[in-house]
Amino acid sequence: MIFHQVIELTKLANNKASVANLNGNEILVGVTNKGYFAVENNCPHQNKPLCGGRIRHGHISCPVHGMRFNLETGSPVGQLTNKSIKVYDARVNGDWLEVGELDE
Amino acid sequence: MKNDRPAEIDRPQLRGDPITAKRYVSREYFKYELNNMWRKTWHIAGLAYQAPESGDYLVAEVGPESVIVVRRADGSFSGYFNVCPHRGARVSEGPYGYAEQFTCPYHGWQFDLDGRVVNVPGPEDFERGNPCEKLGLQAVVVEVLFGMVWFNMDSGCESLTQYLGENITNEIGSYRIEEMVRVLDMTASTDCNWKVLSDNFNEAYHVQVVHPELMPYIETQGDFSQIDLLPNGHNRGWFASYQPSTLHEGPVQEPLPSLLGEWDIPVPEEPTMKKLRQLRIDVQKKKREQGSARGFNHYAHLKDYQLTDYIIYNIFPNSVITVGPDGVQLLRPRPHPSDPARCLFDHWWMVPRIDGRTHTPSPAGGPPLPVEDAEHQAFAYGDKSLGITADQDLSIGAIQQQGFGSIGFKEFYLSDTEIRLQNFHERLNDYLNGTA
Repeated sequence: MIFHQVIELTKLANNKASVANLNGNEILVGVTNKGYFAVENNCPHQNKPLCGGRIRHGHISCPVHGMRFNLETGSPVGQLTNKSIKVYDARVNGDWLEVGELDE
Repeated sequence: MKNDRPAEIDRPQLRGDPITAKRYVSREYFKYELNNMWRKTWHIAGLAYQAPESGDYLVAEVGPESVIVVRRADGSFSGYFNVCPHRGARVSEGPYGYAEQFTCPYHGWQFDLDGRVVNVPGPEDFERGNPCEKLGLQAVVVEVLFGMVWFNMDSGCESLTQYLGENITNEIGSYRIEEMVRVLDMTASTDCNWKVLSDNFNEAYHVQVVHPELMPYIETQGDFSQIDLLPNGHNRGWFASYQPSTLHEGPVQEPLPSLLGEWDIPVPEEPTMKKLRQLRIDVQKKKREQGSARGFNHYAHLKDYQLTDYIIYNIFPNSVITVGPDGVQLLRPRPHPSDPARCLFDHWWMVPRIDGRTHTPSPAGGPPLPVEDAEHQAFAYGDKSLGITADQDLSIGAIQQQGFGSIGFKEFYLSDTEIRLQNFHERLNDYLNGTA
């Protein structure tokens, strides 16, 4: 696992998702009462970006149809899709949030 | 008039309509109930604070109907049937979400927060005209009261406060639910008609048998209880607490000593009924004196009896709100989308925020609950506990529903203490007969 610096912690607000770049891929990062998260910026229901979706109770809701995804596990809630979103390892290092990517 | 309890209300003359099993089992009755009653009465969609910002919405379901209530930029709420005017698909998923505009998952029609169609793929291809100029989500009537968003599917309905009446509006209002946080939010599916459970909450006659654990500290009948029939099929039951039920036998039992202990009031050494009934008054005095210093700021808005007692408001048809000194409970059986022999039972518990208290006792038994907004949990009755008392209530659901299937059962034979049921069912008859 290789960790990359993606965003400064000061840029994160509670229950807000920010778009960040992980090796050329757009991801969403942020912090909730349950901790930091990093997930793919794509809703698998109709492949639309998740950014702009509001976060409540550790779930992000897709701004298009309201599908919700657990930010810790990626699992969907509701009947529109049974596909999960990809979840990355997120950790704090100094003033930065780092996101892990498998070393392939 | 006794001022240690809610003011008694003159009892209306009831007709004595027979209550038979048909209304619990018949599919035909179920359809009439939907058309004539559910689509004309007020229902709770959720708590207003769940949708704090513009575009935040809640989805509420009543039988086959689904309704979206959405927060507007000016802070108010609007509500719509959750159905696309194009081909009838549900537009949004529950129980909550956020949308700048609603987008139907089927053909991508989009609606603004006024419900108007604002964008469709291929708008020029409709012979009957561009849907953006013509169509929209059908509106429902929405009001906010007690920190809850309510809706009515009947555009010609009376206002919510007219519907509820002064007693309910003012008395529940005094608890300031809008300042509370919901710490428990459960829905269980169960095998009985919704009225089996609403009936159960309309009488305390079953308490001594089904809920023996309440007897040591809550009155269920006699001089320290009171039943009032309110207009429009609503009911109220008052039950004194911090004293044993008249039916309680034997020595003082928990949780009464613990409840008294919180206010440094000892159990009397020779606990005669007279001394035991003084305890409730002593607690009221202590709470009045020390409440705000100990962080119970909400006591200031309550009358003395509200500092100790439980009052159950059976709001027609199915919103049962029980208020107590330290929290408010919603017990609500909702009709199944299609099956009269099934329902969905909601259990909410809302508490005031008190400085220094991070946890609150759970009405569901088990460990104390954190004082923070709870995530919704949905499950089948029996898979998980809804709370000791609620589990006990639901335990009678299936056996009564099964009994209703028998020609051996004729009609209800009610005691005077079950008079609230009669009031409820006669109002239901009024709706079904079109005379409500």
